[in-house]
Amino acid sequence: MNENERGYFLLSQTAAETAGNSLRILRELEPSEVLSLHGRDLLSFETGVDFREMAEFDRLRDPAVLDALFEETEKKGLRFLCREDPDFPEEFLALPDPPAGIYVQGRLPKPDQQKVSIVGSRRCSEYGRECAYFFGKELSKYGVNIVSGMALGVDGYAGRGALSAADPGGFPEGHSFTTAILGGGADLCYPKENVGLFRSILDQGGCILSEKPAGYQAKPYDFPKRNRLISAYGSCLAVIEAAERSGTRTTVDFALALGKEVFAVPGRIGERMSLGCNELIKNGAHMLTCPEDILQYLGFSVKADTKKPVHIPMTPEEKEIYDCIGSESVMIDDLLLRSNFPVSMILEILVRLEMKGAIRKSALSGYVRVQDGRKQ
Amino acid sequence: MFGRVDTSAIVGIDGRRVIVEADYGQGLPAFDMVGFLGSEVREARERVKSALKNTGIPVPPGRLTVNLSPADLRKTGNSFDLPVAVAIMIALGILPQETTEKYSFVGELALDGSIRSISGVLSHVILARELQKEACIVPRENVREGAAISGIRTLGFLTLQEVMQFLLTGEYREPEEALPELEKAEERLPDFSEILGQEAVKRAAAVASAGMHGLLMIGPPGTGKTLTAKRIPTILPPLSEEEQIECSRIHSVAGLLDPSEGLIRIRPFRSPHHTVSASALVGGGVIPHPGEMSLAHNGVLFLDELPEFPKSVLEVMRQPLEDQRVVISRVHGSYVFPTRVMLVCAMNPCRCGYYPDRNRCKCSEAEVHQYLSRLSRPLLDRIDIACEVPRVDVAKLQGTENTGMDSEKLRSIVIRAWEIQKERYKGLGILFNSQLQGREIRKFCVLGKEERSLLTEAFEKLELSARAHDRILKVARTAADIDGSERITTAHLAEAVSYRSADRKFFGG
Repeated sequence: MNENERGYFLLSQTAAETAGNSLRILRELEPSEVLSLHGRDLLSFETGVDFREMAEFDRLRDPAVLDALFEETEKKGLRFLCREDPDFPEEFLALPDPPAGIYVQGRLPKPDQQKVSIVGSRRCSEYGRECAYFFGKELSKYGVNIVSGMALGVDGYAGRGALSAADPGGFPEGHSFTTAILGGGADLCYPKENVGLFRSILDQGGCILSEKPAGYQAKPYDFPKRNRLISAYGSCLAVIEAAERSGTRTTVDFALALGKEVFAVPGRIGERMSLGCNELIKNGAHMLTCPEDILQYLGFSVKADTKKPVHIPMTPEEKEIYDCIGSESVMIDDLLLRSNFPVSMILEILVRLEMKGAIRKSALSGYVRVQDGRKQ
Repeated sequence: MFGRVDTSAIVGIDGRRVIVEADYGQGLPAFDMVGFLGSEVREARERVKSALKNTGIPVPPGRLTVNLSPADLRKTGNSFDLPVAVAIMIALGILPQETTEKYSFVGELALDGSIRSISGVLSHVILARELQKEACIVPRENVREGAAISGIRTLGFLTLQEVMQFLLTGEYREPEEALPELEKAEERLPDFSEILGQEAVKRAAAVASAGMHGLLMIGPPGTGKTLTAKRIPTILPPLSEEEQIECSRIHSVAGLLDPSEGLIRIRPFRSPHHTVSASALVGGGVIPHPGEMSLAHNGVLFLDELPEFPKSVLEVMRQPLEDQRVVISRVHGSYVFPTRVMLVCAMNPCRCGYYPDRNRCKCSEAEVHQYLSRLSRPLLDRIDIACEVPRVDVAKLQGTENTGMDSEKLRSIVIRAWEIQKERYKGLGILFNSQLQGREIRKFCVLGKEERSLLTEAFEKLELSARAHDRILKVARTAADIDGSERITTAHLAEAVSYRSADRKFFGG
């Protein structure tokens, strides 16, 4: 570690690194000069730190303590990239308040890899879930890195979709499929429900990054700051589903401030979870109805109908039931009204269709068709 | 002079023979009662004294000792008043010893000499029959209950005077009212045809009933979970005579038998509130009483709002569900109550009840998770069928004539399946597919090659856990029995898999 790196590391480890604090300090000092600061000096930069934080700063400015901390961070599998590091993603430098450094776990996407941020509500509907997965998967097939927050709902499903495309092996060694930017330390899985996703991201060649030091527990006010990194990292931003007032809104605002294009998936009117996206479209966001919308924007040459529709073999009875099921939840009672099969037979057919991957059980209320990109 | 009379005490749900001895002789005036008595039995002394006086039988001053034997059995309850009074009358030389030996007596006395009803008459009468008594003498209010036992007469009396009259002259007046007909009792029951739609749930209920599988219904409020549960007793086959007596005995001991009904003729349906205590559920108390599980014996135990039940309460149900009986141990011995129930549970998918309808549900994913994780895994393992009860679009249903299944059609399905199982498991001590275990499953739920591959595929694609394996086989066996098929086909297996889906999604099973 050179002196500059040490300075950045010290800043990113302490409370000095909160909304623009490091910005104010680094405007006046060289990063290496930070090391000679005392806790009380921080006050002169209008940083608003308290006594506890000043004491912490004083503790860490001891070179031995700082080195030990750095080692400990590396032991946890995190790589610290300071702002001057050649590997530091330059997308973040475009921010008015770039982080002093980031902590990375896993495989950072190559600088030339296309990145798309996918965000949306944590409490998404079945439709939102299906769309997030679908776009994550389809874009990933073209080598696009899906950037999201690994939150519950849309973010998580987008990440899962991206990983589901990780299989074919059509990508060069070291390809990164998805990037999760967390609000807390990159070594902690937050939210803990997504621990399965957290593991698979690391196992299947994705990356988890954060501007917060290892072991840092995210506070509610950290997430809007995290959102600025998400919107900065992707070439464009896709909003899958959002209610009228939501955290997604802040991500969109950051993206717009950075001059990024915003895509939004239209929803049905009258649905609470569709209000946000429809409003975005009304205000000029691109309407996102198929992966090609984004792919063309990114400069991929996509021919309209070269994809072979996936053919799932079905018996006539299965076809009849399959045709009754759309992207909206259908209940067994509806199927009974629309077909002439007895209940036991419908139950059987549904299980078979589900095993063929043609339909999916929606949470509780019924069955939905699995999105396969076919024109319906 | 000395007199002795047969009566009985209730231990668990069984009657135990008790002999009341009375001795009257010279000495300082005293009235002692001995024989390991509970306080309510000791108080019989005052009731008997007054009742005798008001019946016109003066007890002359002298030493009166009453003993209840065997001396090591604790006597509790209110049924000893009448036998004590009769024994004293023999000791006083008012009644002959020989005539009274043909009878067994139970009943509580009022101070004016009238006889009050008691609980547990069935068990008393059954014991009297075993002792080969000619008749059991009970309070008039309980006579119907006792009359249900064949092979012994049950005589009901209103007053001590009448009993005395009968023992001296053999005069007995039969009560006039007739017992209600079984058909009448069933007519009042609800019917599945009253539930619009929800055909999948009805099917699940029928399959569960056919194999006595545990059933869990998950769905938002107001979708008919409770309605469905209440109707399950109507599709179970009618109680056999033996089962009627079993059920009635338990209710009788608990003092819950309606005197005007006689025996329990329709399948019990018990729905304890989620504030129920562990001992109220499985039975307990200083002198153990049957709990809700035993009261639901041969019928349905319905636990609404399953996650609201304290974990500790649900845990105590595990053993009784497995063994079909509960053993309660006390210093003076063990009490056994039967608990062969069909477990039916209902729950909301989340605290507010509307998950996953995001227009109405305000719970976060973490809250939903937490709500569901309150259920204990081992209890869920005893529930073979989980089905989802979705919201029904009322407008859609109003247009259609309800062509769905009614209780009668469903019951015929269940009866057939029960008969097949009875035949198959003859001599194995098993009645239903749900009771199959380990080796029996491999023996009776044989799969062909095609079926096996379907099951393997289902496990891979649908992310089922190994725990689900046996339950799927058992339910598939029942589905096959409903079809009258000896072989389990892929159709049966697929249907069985569909009943696991809920718990696969919500409980990671």
